[in-house]
Amino acid sequence: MAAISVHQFAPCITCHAWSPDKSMVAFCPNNNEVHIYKLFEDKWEKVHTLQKHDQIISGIDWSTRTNRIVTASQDRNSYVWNLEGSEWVPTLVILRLNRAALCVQWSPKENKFAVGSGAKTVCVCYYEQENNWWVSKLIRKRHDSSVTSVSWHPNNILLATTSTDGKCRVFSTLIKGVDSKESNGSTSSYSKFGELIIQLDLSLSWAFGVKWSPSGNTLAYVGHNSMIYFVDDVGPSPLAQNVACRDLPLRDVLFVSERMVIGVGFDCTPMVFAADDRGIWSFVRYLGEKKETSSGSKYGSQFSEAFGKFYGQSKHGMNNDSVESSKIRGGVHENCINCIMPLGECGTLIRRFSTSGLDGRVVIWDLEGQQDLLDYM
Amino acid sequence: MILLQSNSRFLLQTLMNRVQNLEKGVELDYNWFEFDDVRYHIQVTMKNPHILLLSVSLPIPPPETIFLGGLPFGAIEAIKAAYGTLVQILDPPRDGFNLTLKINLSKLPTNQDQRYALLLKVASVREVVLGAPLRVILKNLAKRTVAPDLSPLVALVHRPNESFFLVPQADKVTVVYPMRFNDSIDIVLATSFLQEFVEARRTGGLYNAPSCTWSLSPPEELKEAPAHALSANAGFVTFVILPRHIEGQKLDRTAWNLSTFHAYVSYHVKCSEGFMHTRMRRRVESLIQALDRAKPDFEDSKITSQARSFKRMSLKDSKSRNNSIS
Amino acid sequence: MASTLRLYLTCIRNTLEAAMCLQNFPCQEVERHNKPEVELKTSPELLLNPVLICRNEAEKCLIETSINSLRISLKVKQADELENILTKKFLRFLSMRAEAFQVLRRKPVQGYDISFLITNYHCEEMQKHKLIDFIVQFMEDIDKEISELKMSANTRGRLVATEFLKQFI
Repeated sequence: MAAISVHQFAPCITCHAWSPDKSMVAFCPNNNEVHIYKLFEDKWEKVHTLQKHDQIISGIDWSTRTNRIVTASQDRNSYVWNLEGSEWVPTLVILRLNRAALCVQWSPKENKFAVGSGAKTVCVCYYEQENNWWVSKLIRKRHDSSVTSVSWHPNNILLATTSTDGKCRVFSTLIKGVDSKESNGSTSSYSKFGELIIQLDLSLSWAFGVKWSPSGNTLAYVGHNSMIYFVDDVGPSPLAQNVACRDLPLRDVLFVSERMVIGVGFDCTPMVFAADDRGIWSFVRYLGEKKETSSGSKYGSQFSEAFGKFYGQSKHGMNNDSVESSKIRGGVHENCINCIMPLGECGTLIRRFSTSGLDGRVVIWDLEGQQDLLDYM
Repeated sequence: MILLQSNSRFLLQTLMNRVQNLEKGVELDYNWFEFDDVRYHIQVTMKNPHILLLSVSLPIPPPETIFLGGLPFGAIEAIKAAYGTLVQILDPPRDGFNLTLKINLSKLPTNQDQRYALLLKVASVREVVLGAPLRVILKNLAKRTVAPDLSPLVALVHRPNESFFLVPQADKVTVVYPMRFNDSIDIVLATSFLQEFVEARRTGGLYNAPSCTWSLSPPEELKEAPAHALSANAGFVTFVILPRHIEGQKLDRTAWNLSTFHAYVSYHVKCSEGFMHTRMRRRVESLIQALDRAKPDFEDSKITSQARSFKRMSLKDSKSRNNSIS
Repeated sequence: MASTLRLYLTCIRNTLEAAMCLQNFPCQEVERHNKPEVELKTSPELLLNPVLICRNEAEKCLIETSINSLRISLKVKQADELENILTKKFLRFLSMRAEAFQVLRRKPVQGYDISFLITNYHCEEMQKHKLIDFIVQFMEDIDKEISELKMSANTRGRLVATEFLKQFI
């Protein structure tokens, strides 16, 4: 079984993140608080409540090495939380935003973090030792709508964003004095801060959930038109592929290896996408049990042959009396999944990950034992 | 109750009460209204417990109706014929009323049945007074004649400032009702009801009933009627009354039914609306329940939420939860 | 159920299934606000193309979707005055209970009899498929209710007329 545990923490969860040792989970129960639960033997117990924001929290990230939590909220603010003794002490980050903050992520080296916002800007924040505060540098006038997701390239410089203008963009976030010191000499090849490296205009609708592959060679993001996009060779001549889903749109994605991506979203069941030997991406299957869909023919798909392989056998009972009641989506999750986080040691292959959604559950999945998927790992 | 009763129930009850306790002196002073703006007043004093003053106020007559001394034509004669020596008409009537009757309860017949019949007649005073001109015309029809002094189109008051019309002829009397309602819903419902009268007579095996027509525009019979009488938002209903409809006992009943036709329709329109309201309210409740069903089981989660947040749910649990919902 | 009604409702159900993919989304125009974008319509890129589903000329359903909210507007059949008045009355009853109905829009969208406004908050606290069930049941019910009320009015009218006319025989 792919789902190894299910925890109902709240009626609704907007996002979650794990502590470095994965013994604690921080999540926002759809309000202005972050709740931190710790696993004691067999029981999850609430150990902390982070209260500082005054509107719903839209993003949480917990840094692995420095053990810091960064939160972003629709109240336009971010806080960096440090554990001092047994207390989480917040430091306000002056984001200089006049609209909601929508998403947040630590950079791989954890010396920067990025915040996407409803002001159509991205904030890249770094710590200034002299002043003992977090400084925010803005990438302005590059997005035509809200920035829905940010993702750091492993090189700590490139930042990918998605926006409700339908585009995916990659920026340089090179900050003098922060990046140059630790660089290995190749920083000069990077563009200056805020420079747009590439703009991908693939989706006809809102774009969400952008992620880099572990090596940083491939970029994946989703469109609200039920598409998932894979981009190789991000640079002057990118190679893009799109895969159409036969079901409801995705919200977020996660690379578990260079060749395998898990997508989650409105369909309530994680979907596995993988690239074959030639690097062609396609939908593989659902993870966890999936209720038989009542009809298949109504969903048109560009990849119908590929899907036929997986669905040809399933019964397409076109129920003529189907006015009765709609199908229940999903299995383990009962509502939209909006967050997927890796679980496992940094640098190793990701076999475990967790998902959370509007049903208030955090589900831990393990790909161990999923024989058909191991080829892609 | 489908048909309207001609007697005022409250009046009948008061009279009976009074008659049964005639010796006991009481002070009574009652005022009340009934449909079509008919108002009653009863007065009994301690001094004369067997004398009862009954005053009736009628709907304000429109100008085309014939009123003599504040009463429809034929009313005085009808009162005298109906009550004999039991009552005395006071002139002038009590201020603000059309008619005041001085009823001497000690003159009631001693026979229980006769006494009750007479009291019932008193309680039906509106039928006696308002129905008087109609009965005069219908009696002429029974004799296959037309009263010589009558105009070819007679207007009779039945609601405040509204009249219905009669065309008396030797072999038939045509009765036309301009139907007016205040509320738009009343208009629509009444219109559909009135069309049922036409349908019911045609298809319900009621060929012996008066022929009945309904039209949105005034019928031919009303071409002489004053302009203000020709506007009716629920159309015009016409009944043709033949001598067989007023044979013997039927005359009183026919007169009563004809003079309260509008009230009858209006009463059932209101009943119908009441029924709809009850039904709609129930349907709305069931829809709210349907919406509430979309929420996860709150009762359930309230009790177990505490336990559940800490419980490590196995997949089996979560599956059975799904099943219970589906 | 008439087969055209079934097809109509199935079509609406499937469209809602696809359209009801809403998420919390704060206002881009006004600081610290979070309002249904389908009502504000200040950011065109946050709106999807509206879908109009018609059963016939008199009965139709408009589904307007935005990133955080969805509006369903219905035009109910009104073949004659009586149906028209019954529909109006029924809808007035519903709007009096708007508090309990949460998803009911206070005023219908122009040109329609009744509108629902479903936001991401409704999707968070209610199960999506049951919310869709509700909308479809609502449409079925209103159709049935109007027909039955009309029939009961006619039956009563007939009874009232018959009883009255019997008095003359």
